[in-house]
Amino acid sequence: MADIAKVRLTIDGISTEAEKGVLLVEAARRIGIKIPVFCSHSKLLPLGACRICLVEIEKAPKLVTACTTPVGEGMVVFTRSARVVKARQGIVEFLLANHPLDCPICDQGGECELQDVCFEFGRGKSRFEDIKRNFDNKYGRIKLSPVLSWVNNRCIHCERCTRVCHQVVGEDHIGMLNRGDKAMISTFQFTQMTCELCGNCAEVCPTGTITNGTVKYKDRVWNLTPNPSVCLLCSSSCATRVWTDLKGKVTRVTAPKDEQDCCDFLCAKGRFSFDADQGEQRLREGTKITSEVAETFQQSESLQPTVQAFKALAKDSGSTAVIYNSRIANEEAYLVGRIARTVLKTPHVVPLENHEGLTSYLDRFSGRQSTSKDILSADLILLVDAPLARETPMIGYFVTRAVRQKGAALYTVGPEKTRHSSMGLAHHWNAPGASKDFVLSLIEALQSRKSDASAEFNKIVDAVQGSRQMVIIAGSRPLAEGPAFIRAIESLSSKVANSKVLMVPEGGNTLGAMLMAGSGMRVPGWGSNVSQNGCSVQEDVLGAIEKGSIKNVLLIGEDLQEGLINWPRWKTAFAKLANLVVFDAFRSELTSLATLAVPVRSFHEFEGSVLSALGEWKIARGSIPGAVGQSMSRLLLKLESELGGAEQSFASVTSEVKKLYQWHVSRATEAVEDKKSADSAGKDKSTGGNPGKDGVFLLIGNDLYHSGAMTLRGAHLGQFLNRSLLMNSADAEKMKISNDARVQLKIGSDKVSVAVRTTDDIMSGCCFLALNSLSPDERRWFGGIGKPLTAVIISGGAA
Amino acid sequence: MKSKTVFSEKLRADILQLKAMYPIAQSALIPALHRVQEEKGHLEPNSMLEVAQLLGIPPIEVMKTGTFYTMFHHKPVGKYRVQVCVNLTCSMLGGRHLLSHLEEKLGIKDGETTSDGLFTLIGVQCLGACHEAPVVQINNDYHSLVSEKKLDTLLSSLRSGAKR
Repeated sequence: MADIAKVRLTIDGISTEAEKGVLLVEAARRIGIKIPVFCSHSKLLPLGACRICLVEIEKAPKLVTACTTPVGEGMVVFTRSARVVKARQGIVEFLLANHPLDCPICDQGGECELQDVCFEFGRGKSRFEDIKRNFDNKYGRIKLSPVLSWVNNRCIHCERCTRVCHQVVGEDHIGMLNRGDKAMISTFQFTQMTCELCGNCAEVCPTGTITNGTVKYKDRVWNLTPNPSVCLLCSSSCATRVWTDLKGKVTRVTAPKDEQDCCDFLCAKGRFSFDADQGEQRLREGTKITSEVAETFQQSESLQPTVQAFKALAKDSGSTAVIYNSRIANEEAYLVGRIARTVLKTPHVVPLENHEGLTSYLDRFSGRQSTSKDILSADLILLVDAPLARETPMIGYFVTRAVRQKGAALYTVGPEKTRHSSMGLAHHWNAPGASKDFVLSLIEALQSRKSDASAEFNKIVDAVQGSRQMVIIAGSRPLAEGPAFIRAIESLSSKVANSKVLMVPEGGNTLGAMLMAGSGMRVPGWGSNVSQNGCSVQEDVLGAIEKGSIKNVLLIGEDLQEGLINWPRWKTAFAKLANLVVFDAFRSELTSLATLAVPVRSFHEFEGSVLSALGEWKIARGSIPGAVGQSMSRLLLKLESELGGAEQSFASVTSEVKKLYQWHVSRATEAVEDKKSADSAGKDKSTGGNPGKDGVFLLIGNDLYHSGAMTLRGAHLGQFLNRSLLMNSADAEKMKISNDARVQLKIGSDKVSVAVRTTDDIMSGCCFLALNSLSPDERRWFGGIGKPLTAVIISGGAA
Repeated sequence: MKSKTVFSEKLRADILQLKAMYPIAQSALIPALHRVQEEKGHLEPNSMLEVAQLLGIPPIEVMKTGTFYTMFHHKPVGKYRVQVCVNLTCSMLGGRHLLSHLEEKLGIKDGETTSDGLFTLIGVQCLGACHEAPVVQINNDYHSLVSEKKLDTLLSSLRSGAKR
């Protein structure tokens, strides 16, 4: 970066230096001079519409907008000269001419950029005697989303929201309609918005036009305290600010506003699911069952019952299975793995989220996967069966920015056209479970073209050949295809110069938890005396319980019942156990079955570090007031020392965890160097399964506002729940199923009744059903992450 | 979401032809909207949706452009759209008086259509001909240096023309 030319300039008498191309507003910010802005935003392209950032430049005849003017050599800038102040005063006066004086009832009051600028530059008195613009109720207050509040009368037409919608969210949902004083922000025909990155328009709005509707009229912002945290609801693991009121209750979640690339926006899940852990279903008190009597205890008193339970588990070494899910911090996973192997002396450590290719991906790509910077600087992005907007919206955010702001070329591949396909240059239909075949044929085509390939496929081949910096992103379905896919994609990456790979797993801290706790078959970093012959997937544990070889189960994580495939079978199996110990943040049938249920902190209350899918190390301090009891790591540490281990501080666990991660990274790097010459990509092609003559591939995933049962637990996101089967229009026509018709979906011996929505965005022969729209009983046939099921659609007769 | 077509085969073909003329599909938006208005008289939401689908652009983009320009109508309009400029220069030279004169004469308010479906009266902002103010635009024709008398003659000639 050192070769970027710098220029010298003077701002308000302070001499400074900035790289060529930096805008004046940014150069001033770096030396602590604040230039007011409305339309300008650090993550949006410059516009120069509002004029509030006017500054005076020596020798320039007119004032210029600091948000669109790049720095120049020898520039002398005045940001507070009399001319500037007078101009700003005029602009503020015009903005206020039509702005209502409703600050006392406006939720933005206290953090309103317009309010701040008016206090600084306003005249204090208005000279306007005319009637203010007033949209009638239909337009002034429009309901465009269940979670956003919309008051067009307050709008100052900076267009931050509409640009966020285009450049960041990528939806093109909202726009400015009409002109002049009738201009207003709305959607097409007031259609309801269902963006995965919902709420970012409200976050950037400098006035109270768009505000977070879930906190409307509930509190004043100066009564709220921001607590830095990390969201564990998907593998983007974004940093958040969790705001608590005077009583310590969480009232809202926003993105942290610092100058890092990842940190100005949040997705709908991260922003609106905070109420999920405040409801009835939160596990607040522990329960212990001793001789058929259930006792309850406070979380703060959970140490003694836990110690007793673990003593019972440790008695019969090797008969305990430890199951964890990915909503735990690295420290927690590390301690879980250590306690399992040293205290409980069991090889059965099992992650609930089962991606077949995950360990192979970690062995090869730890620490060298694509980062957010790589995505933003890429000139070609290839999405291989990666419904980013649905699975990890914030990684989708980087792709949208790369395409819409930096002009990267985007191609999508897979059985579904996703939100990003509409921004892309072409979409190549590829059957579910056959991503490896696509990668292998792409490698072949790079050497010699095939004549029978589709036009879209050839476009992708051309793009890959011409790319200077490529990023390949694959979702959880390809990851579930197993190690063969990872080898294929590694081989592709090695053949294209300057290419990076990113795989996006389901879950939360999926990568970190797997690296720290490992599984029954994979214990790297733990030394050679640890058995590597344990169960490593949940099906094995279920079988072992049914056979009687596993007598105790310890489940650790959050929302655990959601991850247990085929719940009725698990329920019967659990009845056979001697001990079932559950650490969960939520009440469920599972916690009621447990011999010991310990309440733990939730997805934003937890303490510890998280490894995001983009390889970033995020730290949650666990400092939210009102969080349930102590953090799980501290409880586990105390437990370990009570059970005869050495006492250890949380800080030293943190450093051990970091060391273990570094060890994994260097191991992955060495593995690459070893294999540089060997091309290990398997040439055997998989067919990707066969749905049968009458069957369809049923793609199962997490709809929009999903994360486990969050949609059902939180009131905000539950409003968006859409239970319908997405079906290819042509298929539906052939089967004479109309849009909105009800059908029976037969999966194995189970039947589910759903409404059909026909679409052209799904491949013929495939259907999509949102898993989180189903009840636990209906969900039992769900066959593991990323695996397409086969199903038969039976037309429901009477609609 | 796919809506049923509200356009004729010819109109669809014309819009696709316009789309092919530009390297960026969105460039064909205004000509396409003109073409739709020519055939349908005004722009309905369903028409705008179909334009969006044909051009492959988000519906809101069509709505933004369609509502920005006063030359596009969103309600049924009369055979003659009388647009009176009430911007600064025209107003100083009597534009607003012309508008109220027409309101009285036609018995309708700004934005309304006469019951015989002949005239729609619209007060508009600058028509870009200040040097000939006050200006009135009737359909695609400009009438400059308009007086009340000149307007009356114009209206009656249009009326008789409509009868023919």
